[in-house]
Amino acid sequence: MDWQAIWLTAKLAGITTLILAATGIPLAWWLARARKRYTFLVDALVGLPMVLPPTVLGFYVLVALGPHSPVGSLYESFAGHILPFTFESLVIASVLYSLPFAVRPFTAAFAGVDGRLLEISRSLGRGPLYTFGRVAMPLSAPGVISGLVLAFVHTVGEFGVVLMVGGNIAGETRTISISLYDDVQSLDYARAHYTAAVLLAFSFVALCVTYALQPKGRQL
Amino acid sequence: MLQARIVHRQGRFTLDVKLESNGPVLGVFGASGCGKTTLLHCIAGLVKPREARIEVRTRTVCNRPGGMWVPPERRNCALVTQEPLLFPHISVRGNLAYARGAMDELESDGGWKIVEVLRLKPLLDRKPGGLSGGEKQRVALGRALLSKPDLLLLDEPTSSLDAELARDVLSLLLRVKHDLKVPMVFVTHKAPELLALADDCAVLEQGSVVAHGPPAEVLRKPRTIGVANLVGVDNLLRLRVLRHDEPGGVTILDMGGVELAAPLCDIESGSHASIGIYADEIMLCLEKPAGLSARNALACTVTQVDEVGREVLVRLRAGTNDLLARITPAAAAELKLAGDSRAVAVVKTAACHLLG
Repeated sequence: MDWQAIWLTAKLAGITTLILAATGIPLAWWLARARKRYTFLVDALVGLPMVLPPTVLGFYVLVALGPHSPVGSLYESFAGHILPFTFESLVIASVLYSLPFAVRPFTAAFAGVDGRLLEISRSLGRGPLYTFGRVAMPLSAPGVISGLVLAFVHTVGEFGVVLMVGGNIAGETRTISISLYDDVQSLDYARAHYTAAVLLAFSFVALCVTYALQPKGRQL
Repeated sequence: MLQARIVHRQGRFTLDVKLESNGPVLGVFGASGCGKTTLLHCIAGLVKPREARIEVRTRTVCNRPGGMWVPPERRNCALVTQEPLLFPHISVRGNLAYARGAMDELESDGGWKIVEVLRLKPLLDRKPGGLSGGEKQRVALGRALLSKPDLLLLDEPTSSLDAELARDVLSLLLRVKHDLKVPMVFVTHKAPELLALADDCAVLEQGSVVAHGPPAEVLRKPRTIGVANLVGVDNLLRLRVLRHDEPGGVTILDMGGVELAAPLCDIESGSHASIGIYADEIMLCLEKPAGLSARNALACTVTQVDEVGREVLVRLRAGTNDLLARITPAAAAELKLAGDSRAVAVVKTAACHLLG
């Protein structure tokens, strides 16, 4: 087992999931509640990574973070080295790539909360934030948790985007799925079996957790 | 207690009301779709009207356009809706203690009085899911009261309950009014509830206030067909105006060969007017009485006599119109009314309510 790759992957998925929680929850709340005429555009944008080939997404992220881009040159002037092929660039790419896997379950869960309960809460003297934390969040907890689990698992399993943006640098950008690819390339099938089996088991357990959390009769 | 001037458009519906009430309980009466709920939501701050000036107990909570708009959580107007809408994931105790300050209130004597009046003590540790409809509504009422509202907004709180539970909730609301002295705006489409609870009543129809006054008066003298239907006026007639007798103070209408004298109105001769007459405001005689102040002594044919409980419903035909009269069994026995017998229906002019 490539323990370095496992630690790196866990770190990447963990940080990505935290960022997705911080950004995806407000975004999903807005998508579920605001329902303006143009929300479908945001819906479609958020959903893009689900249908786009990871290499296409990876390519654009690479260009967007490159030394000639505003983001890339800004980063370079602070950090002293270019942004692509670093752990940070992997985090940015993973957040974009896993966005729909977090935001869509969040949105579905929030949309399922009876808006009248929120109105009652307001009329009882509680502001929007308290109402969100005390009513909306507990009632949509299963959906939010499954969104977080899915985002984590999906980040663990990404391959194409990582390869495009991060390359294959041990301890910096070599995640477990890249490590598996390396094993196969070097014909080390025993090691590949081991890694693949661990990934398979992990993914299965994660999915079991998500589905067990869903209320009966409601599908993701 | 409440002053409101609201203009609010929602799709093709427009709410345009001007209301001023000293309460303590203002009844808002109207059929579904008349804008009652929208009005409550405007007062509660859940809807942002385009133009409005709303004062709750001398405090301005909304003055638009102009920017002044107090969000719902700072209006102190608690809402109780048709469905109880308890927070399903919190215990009854948690629901009661939900509002800002309600936790302390629940511990106080005043709070315990609310719990006792509403008989909530045995429910405290249960989850809302296991409660009956009536229990849920009592918890919802308690939750609203424990927020110590300046104004309690009730949106048809008895509508989703069966008759017996509805009476129970109504009697609790009466205790809330008399013992706890909480001012309320009470929306309903049930006339008896309005009479029982409200001190002041506004009738809403298609987004406008069409009548405003003491409930008994508003109900006794319905001014529109909508109100008459809600109140349950037994005889609704659509009659052609024959002529006006201005010095006499009456307008003569055609019942199909029989003339009906109604209070003087300004509807043109030849046009039609709607008239409502309560069944118990019709007096029956066997012959036309002499020296009568009532302007109407209508020669009728009795078409049907039904004894319903302790009253007798007599269906009559006057000209081309049907009338329903309600008399006592004693009167029916004395007059020996039966199908095809003749009778004279005596109706005071003032009992012929002209409906808008």
